[in-house]
Amino acid sequence: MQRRTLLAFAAAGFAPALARAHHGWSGFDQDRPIYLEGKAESVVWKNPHAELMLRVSPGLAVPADLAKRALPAQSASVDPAKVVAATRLPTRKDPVWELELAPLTRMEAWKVAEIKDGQTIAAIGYTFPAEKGEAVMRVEYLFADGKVYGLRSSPV
Amino acid sequence: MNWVTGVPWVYPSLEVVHIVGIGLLIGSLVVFELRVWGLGRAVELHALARLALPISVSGFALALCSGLVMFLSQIDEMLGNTAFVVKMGLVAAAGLNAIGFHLRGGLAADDRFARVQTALSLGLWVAVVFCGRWIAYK
Repeated sequence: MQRRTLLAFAAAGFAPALARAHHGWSGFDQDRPIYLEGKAESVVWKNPHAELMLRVSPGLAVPADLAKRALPAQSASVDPAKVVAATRLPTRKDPVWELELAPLTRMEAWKVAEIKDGQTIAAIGYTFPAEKGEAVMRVEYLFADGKVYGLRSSPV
Repeated sequence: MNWVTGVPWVYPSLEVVHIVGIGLLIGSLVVFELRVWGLGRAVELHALARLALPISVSGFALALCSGLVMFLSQIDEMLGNTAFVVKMGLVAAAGLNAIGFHLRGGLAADDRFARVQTALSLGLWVAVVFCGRWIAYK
């Protein structure tokens, strides 16, 4: 811990070089939901919100039955049908994306089992306008363990 | 520091303490500063200072302690966040301004420069709040 703290003070001058960041919903383009599927890596199951790296499956495609899947009700006013109808693949071809999930209290409310490295999951979510910047997705719907979770708010 | 980010209710609880600290710091400071600027002259300035300033300092202490724990639980993320780095600079500036005010004689130096320092103080702390909220959006 001592060494890390020393490095912390030294690194303060090099802050721009460190890439990790946190984002609210408003920084993302919520008019253009995208679909990703792949294997979870570097899962961080922690507050302020869980996150993971997703190694995208080769031959990624939006599932034909996506519109037929039952998306769960939640307290926030999200129109699942509208989101699904607008969901496309991202145009950028990054092999790895960073996925932002929800705070631990919300993951618990949905009873999402902690995702393990190597687990295959899928998600509908949003990235930055015009897909610029880093390959980061804020997850709206998480598909894991054969279930669907709405990560914007709590289940009703 | 796994318990800070790993136990679901801990991090939000730290944020609550942080916000209460902010409320005490700025709320009490504003009352004192308005009096310096001439509002509420029925209240004796030095007596008000003796009441209000320790409350502000206590608020700062709450914010500092809760902030330190949150920082130590995710050092890399915080150092990579521009809003956080700027916020720390502003906290330092606000602190130096406060120390400077008291080194100049505090309330004894009831002059224009001292009034500028109180205005600067408030401006700096509001900017700190702005940056603090922006951490989540950066």
